[in-house]
Amino acid sequence: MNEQHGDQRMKSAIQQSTYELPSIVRDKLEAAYNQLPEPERNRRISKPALWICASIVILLAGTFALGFISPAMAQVLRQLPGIGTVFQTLGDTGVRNIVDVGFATSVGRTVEDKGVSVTLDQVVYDGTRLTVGLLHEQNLDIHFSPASSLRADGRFLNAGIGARFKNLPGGMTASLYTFSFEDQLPDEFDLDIHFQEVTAMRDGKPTLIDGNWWLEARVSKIKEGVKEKKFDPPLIRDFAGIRVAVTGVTLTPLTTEIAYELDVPDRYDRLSYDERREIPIGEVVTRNDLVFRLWDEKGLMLEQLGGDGHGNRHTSRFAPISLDNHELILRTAERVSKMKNQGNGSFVGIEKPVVRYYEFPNHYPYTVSQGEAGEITFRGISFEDDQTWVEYEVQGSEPYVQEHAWWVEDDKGQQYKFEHYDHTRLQDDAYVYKAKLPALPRESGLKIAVIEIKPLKRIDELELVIPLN
Amino acid sequence: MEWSDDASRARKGDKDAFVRAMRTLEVSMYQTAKAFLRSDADCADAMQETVLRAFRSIRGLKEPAYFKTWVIRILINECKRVLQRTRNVMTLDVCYDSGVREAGYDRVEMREWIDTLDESLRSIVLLYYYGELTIKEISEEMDLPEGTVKSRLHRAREILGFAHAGQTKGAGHS
Repeated sequence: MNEQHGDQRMKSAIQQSTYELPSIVRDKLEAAYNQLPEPERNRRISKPALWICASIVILLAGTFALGFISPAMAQVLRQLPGIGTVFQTLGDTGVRNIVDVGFATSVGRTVEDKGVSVTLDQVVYDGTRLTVGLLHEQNLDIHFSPASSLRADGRFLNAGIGARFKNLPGGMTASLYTFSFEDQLPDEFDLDIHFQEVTAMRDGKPTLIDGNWWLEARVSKIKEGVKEKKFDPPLIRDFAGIRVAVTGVTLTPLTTEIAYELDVPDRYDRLSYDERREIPIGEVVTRNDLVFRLWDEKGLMLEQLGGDGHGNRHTSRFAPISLDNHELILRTAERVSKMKNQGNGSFVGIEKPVVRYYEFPNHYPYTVSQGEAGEITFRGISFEDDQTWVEYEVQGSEPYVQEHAWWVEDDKGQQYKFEHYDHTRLQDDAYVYKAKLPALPRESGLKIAVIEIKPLKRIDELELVIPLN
Repeated sequence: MEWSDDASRARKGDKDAFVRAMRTLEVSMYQTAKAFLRSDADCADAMQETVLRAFRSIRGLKEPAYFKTWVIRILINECKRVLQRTRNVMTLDVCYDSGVREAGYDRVEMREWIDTLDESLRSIVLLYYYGELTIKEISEEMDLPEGTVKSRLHRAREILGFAHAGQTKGAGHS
């Protein structure tokens, strides 16, 4: 009885006592309340208002009949042979460069819920983009909404998102996500990636699974080998109603980023949803796009990695370059595409690529034309039991299109192609590559197939030199 | 329970209701966090994280009546994360802002009394009275036998003068 009485009196005393939270606690709570997003039904993924350069590649995982993930498999996932390799497996030129110079942060942390394990493998941030490598079971579709799933120091982030995937041996998939932000993030922050829904293969069927997966990592912005330059007033070129105003350039070991403002005539505007619905099915429309490319001072075109746009402000990201460069050259080209309304909300290009066939090389170097854009030279082909290695160089005005616009074909029409991340650039000062193709049948019916490429029409009046010093 | 109706609305997506419900739990949350964390900055971090996580998961709350228990659970997990993160870090800021003394009253706040307790007793008092955890739950969280939790709770009440009928702590203390 004494115990109960004492308990009640204690509770009563606590209830009657007044208390004010310390100011640091009060401030953080108020910040949290103010940050709460709008309810689920009103939330949208933030998207660029106008996206001119279509350069983000999203590759979907293939379909395999995988059963459930057993606890044993979950354990395997924690000891992944792929750990520490997502960036090398899937990364673009910049990401692979980061691994080579040792700037990637290896996290290796696994979270598991409802039988689904996801490992945060590597992460890197350079101020222009945040790249995250994940490992998980095959055919897992993570339902990402950057506005609701990504936080830095507790603050929700709106981000542009790009992704690529590759199936690995052992029943796993490597995923690479690239996030880009309108606002600068702190130099160091706690990254928090949260998702609550995935689609996984269970008993051979895609199954929606609700859960809670929290991935966390401490992120430090790359500071070594970084150069930033702002242009105020901007560097401006005006022509035919097009105004390009470069406001800044950032060089990091991961990326070369150009920030610019762009004002264009109406013909470059994308059709709105309502406008697309008014177009009769089968009708062909003309789409005009502006494409921005960058050259270094030695005349080498930089590989484009991505870009974002909000209103008339844009950023374009390219492969990293050496800080020894004194200038970059920004060139604008126009792409004109004829698109046909399929009637289901989508438009497809009507111009079929022209494919030319050449004899399979039996001596090297072996050069064939790629149309008006240039040519491709095969330097050597190595046949192995389970794969084929091809070394080649492209020369011309569209090197990053030319380099993957070919394949090997046999006399039955079977095509042998390489996957985008199964090829490596061998030289920084030339477009020389080594690609892995499937094993080729050693018979005489093999041919080289090449797409003829027309170079984009360059608008010379908009060429702009960007000084780096 | 003043937060129960708001918790029910919050489950349906009412953000304002969620915030109202959380406000009624702020002191309890703070005191519970204090059972685990020394610095107010760490408590603030854990509480902020709890608000955000609770909001994200509110639709998963099966029974609004258990809202407080559910939030405190999330908070305890957050406190453990903070502990894990700061394990090897020397915390310089260990000042504790001991709450407001009511003007005109020479009365010691209950919280100040609790602060005078030895840490092993203080944590249990905070979890029991502010976090409203059961004896069993406290024993699991702190990895202590239930009997130990009970005896420490009794000891704390004795020290604070609430174990014996008829005795009250008035103004001032020795």
